[in-house]
Amino acid sequence: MGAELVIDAVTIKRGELPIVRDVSLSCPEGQVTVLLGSNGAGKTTLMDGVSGVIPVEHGTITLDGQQVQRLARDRRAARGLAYVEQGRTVFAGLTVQENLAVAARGARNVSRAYELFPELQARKQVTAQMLSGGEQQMLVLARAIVSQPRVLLIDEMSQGLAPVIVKRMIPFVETAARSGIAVLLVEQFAALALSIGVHAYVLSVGSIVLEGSCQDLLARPDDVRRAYFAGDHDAHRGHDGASANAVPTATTSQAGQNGESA
Amino acid sequence: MSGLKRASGTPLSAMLVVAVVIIAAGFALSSYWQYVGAIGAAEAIFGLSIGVVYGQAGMLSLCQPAIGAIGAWTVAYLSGEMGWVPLPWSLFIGAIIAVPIGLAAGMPALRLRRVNLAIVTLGVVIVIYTVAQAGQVAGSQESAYVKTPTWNLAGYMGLYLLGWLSFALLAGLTIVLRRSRWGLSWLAIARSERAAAAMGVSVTKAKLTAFAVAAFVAAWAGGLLVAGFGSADPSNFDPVVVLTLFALAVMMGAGYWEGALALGLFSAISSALLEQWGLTPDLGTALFAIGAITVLGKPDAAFSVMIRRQVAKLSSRRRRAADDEPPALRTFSPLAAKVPATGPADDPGRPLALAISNLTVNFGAVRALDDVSLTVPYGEVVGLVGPNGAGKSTLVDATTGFLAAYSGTVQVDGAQIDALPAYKRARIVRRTFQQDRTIGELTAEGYLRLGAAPGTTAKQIREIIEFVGCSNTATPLHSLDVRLRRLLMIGACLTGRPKAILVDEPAAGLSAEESIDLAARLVEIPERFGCGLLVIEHDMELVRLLCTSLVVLDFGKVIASGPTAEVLARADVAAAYLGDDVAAETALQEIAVEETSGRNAPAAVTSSQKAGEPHGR
Amino acid sequence: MIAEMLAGLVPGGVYAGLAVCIVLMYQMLGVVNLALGAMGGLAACTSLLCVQWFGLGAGPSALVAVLCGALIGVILGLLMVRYFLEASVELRTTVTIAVLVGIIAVGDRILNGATYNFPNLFAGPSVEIFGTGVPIGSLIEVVAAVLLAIGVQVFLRTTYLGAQLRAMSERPVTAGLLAIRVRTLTVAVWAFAGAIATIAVMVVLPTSTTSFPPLAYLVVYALGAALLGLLRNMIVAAVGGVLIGMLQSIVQPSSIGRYTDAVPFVVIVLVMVWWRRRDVWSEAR
Repeated sequence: MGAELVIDAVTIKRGELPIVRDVSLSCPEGQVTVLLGSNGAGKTTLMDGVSGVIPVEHGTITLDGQQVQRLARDRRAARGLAYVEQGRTVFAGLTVQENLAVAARGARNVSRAYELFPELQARKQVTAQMLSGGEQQMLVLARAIVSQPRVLLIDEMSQGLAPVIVKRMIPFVETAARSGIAVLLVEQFAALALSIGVHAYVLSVGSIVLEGSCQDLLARPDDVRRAYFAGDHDAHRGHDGASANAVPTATTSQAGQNGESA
Repeated sequence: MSGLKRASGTPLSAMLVVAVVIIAAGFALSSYWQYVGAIGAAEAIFGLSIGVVYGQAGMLSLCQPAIGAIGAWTVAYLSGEMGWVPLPWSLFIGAIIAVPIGLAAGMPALRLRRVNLAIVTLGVVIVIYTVAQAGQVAGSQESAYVKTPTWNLAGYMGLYLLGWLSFALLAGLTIVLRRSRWGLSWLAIARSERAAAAMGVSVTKAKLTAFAVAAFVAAWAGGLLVAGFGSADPSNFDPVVVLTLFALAVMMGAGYWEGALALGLFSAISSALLEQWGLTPDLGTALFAIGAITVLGKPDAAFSVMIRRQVAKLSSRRRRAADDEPPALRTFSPLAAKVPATGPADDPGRPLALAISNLTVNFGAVRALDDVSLTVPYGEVVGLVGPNGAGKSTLVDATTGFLAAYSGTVQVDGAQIDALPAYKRARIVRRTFQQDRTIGELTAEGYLRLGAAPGTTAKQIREIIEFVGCSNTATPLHSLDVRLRRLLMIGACLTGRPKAILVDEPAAGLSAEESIDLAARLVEIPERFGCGLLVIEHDMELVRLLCTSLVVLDFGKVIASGPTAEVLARADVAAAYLGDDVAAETALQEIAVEETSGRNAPAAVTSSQKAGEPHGR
Repeated sequence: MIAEMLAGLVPGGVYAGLAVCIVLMYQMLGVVNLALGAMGGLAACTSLLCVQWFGLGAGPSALVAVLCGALIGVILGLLMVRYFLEASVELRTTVTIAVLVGIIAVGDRILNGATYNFPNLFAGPSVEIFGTGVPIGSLIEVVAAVLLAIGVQVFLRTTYLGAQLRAMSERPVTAGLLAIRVRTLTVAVWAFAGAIATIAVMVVLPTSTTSFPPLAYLVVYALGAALLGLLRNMIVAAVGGVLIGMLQSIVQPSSIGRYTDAVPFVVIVLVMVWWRRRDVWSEAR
């Protein structure tokens, strides 16, 4: 049912600035692939490029063996690419039922969504605007699944929600992956995502700076932390003597002054 | 033609040369074509008027040429019906009288979105036409007959001369204004009203001055038409004519004088030719409509823009290649980073550039900022960091006056500024934007001059341009690369000589070397310009280099503040970015417990709720 | 006075129909279509040609005209979708201004100042109201306009397609990501508006002059009515259109009759001033 998503050497610009630089990663079907990184790293830009919200400058995006980077976003969606955008983009004036119906390809799928999120069943006729943050997040996830996608991109579903509410959505992501969908989960909050993913990448200043299995990264939190905060200064170490000198000097001198504590 | 191009160093001299050529050519034309040319001059002047309001100030006002009716009626009344005032002077008087009317027509623009302004001004066009047809207003009757001036010249040369001298005068006026603060402010509000206000531009004043100037110019043209036709023929202000002029203005790019000139010549000559060939004038109108739609889809296709590109290409071959080279990137000297002797920001004796106290912002039910306090002392760089949605941009908006309501106080240099609107706050506190909000049509020099404090000399402006790392003062900003534009955005803050500057994610998307270069420049600002600097950033290495102290925001609250290294080493700061490890682990344990025992674990739930607070609804 | 008011029902119904389209297009497509009247006018002209040149009856000609109106809508919709899909509301509206100019030029050509006689589709028996004879046709027309407003609202609220349109109007990007066919729907709305505008103009055709522009300027009256509904509420816009029609009818024979065309402008200004009294400045920029 699912399909593999392969992103190869993709560069994406906003205006003239390259925000995503030459990124390659792959999301096999039936598993959750995790993409981590702090703000400004380019995670959302990458997702926007893959889904068709913004154009891709270079590189290819392959869905089940077919290149889609030239297709319009509704065409990509028709081919099974679903994108849960950051910020809970519900259709505020439509009811829960309507939000789901416009995405579904048949009424049967809508009832499946209610099975996954019984809370939504109770709020079926409520306008999306009136839902709580957690309910809205459930709605956008449910909306993505009713379209029977083969690839599911989820951008920061935990943003602005209490962990106990986010916990509620983990089974959904796992179920989606189990049913064969290739899930790409973008998160700022590493521990959460790593606990349900199989393979992970860390993005920083537009490039992949670290990758590995989720188990592995869970055991190396300091490496992950450093990858988040490093920028590509680490990547450029050795190429430019001057800048390389500045970075370690400042870090060690300040660490020396204050007595580093974990 | 190439000789002319060499002579045309500036727009003003170029325009004068062209005007002289056109006037000289008039002597060689037949009487018929002199008449056509004179009408062309009037339409070109209408083009100047639309160019100011729409082309420069970006306001979708459709009624400028209709305001020309005011000028028409005045001339018809004073020079025709009453015979009090001879022609050239009545043009001037008509133009002056139209100014308050233009201001009144501009009032809706102050409060309306651009689309609604289009609706209102379309209504104005219809009203003016209705009034013109009713013939009740003084000067609008056919009986108010004006004799065409001849000035003892053969044929229609007198009218032709009057027309093109008027064009030269008014085009010169708009060229001079375009370079002045008024013109700079028009271009700024067209691009972004927020960015303009952030530079200290009063948006209201900019809009009103645009309407006033446009009315003056349009009324002059209206009066000229009367001089040509003899009376204030209402068909001149027919909505179709007015809208066609607007479409032509779009097509020709009337914001520049060449566009207005092209408008006048195209319109008049094509009408005359179609008449000569026995074809309907509707053909021309239809073509102008298509031309306008094309330009709307592809703004570079506007006639004046294409001309400017060509001229720039020809003259750029002569410019030295070295002029275009940006200076080499600077490296960061650790010695330049100031570590204050005493703890930053906590010492009550330190003079504070910026002091934010108990700032709380609510967007409906969502609390975006919760009792946030921070200070920026003079001579220091303070960093503001935090994950997505933490409220950093909201804080900048509140501080600089871009939020309607907040509680708490903002003090700059000890003075409370909460009652001031954004453009007034810009005198003492400046900000940059995450997005590129520079004004592409301006040069670096013009852009910095727009927001400059009174009394700033050209030399000082050039020094600031060099300081931020740009060498190119004369190219329009849209030709410079984005990094330079970002630096110039900071430069524009500096020319205002504020007490505090808030810089929003300046290093986003920059490479490592470029970030270092940026840091090297930013770190000098507080000392050199006598202000305090607040930098919002995600690049932690940059923050480490640049900021002496750090404030961390999460979910709208300050979770840490103090010396940079201390703050960054704290576990809760890392957790805010990486996710609440403790809570997530506990939650995972919960799931495991539930699955194995099938029971709730209320104790675990409580601890996970404590660790991360619910945010939003 | 009553007689004038009732006579105003005919133009009032026209303004109501056009106003509903203005609101629909603004809400669904993010454009203030200033060329709406012109579109309808151009298509209505083809009905004249059908009668004159091809000798078709009134009914078939009207049908051909409505189809033409839909076709003009399709063409303009495709233009918008191809080049102006991600454009701002202002830019799209400016495009409609250019379109308006172009259509007026073409329409003027077609009519060419000659006199055409178009059979009155609304002739028929009259009804006595307050001592005046009111043609049944005009009553039907007003009712139809109000029903149109209600019908469109109901359609949007209850049908699947209506939900898709509302979703598209709220978040066009997200709608596209859900495989909602934004471009097709946009063109469909343009076609619908074109057809309605044609019907509306054909109602007015027999009584208007034979120059084209006044047909295009009907849109200004419709704008006044649409603004009464704050560009949001179709039913208020429809009722507003009827009221403006009646107001125009009262003013016309009076001493300020020469300024009748200024009536919608007064309405526009009053609504604008009242509507925006609390705004500080345009936050959107």
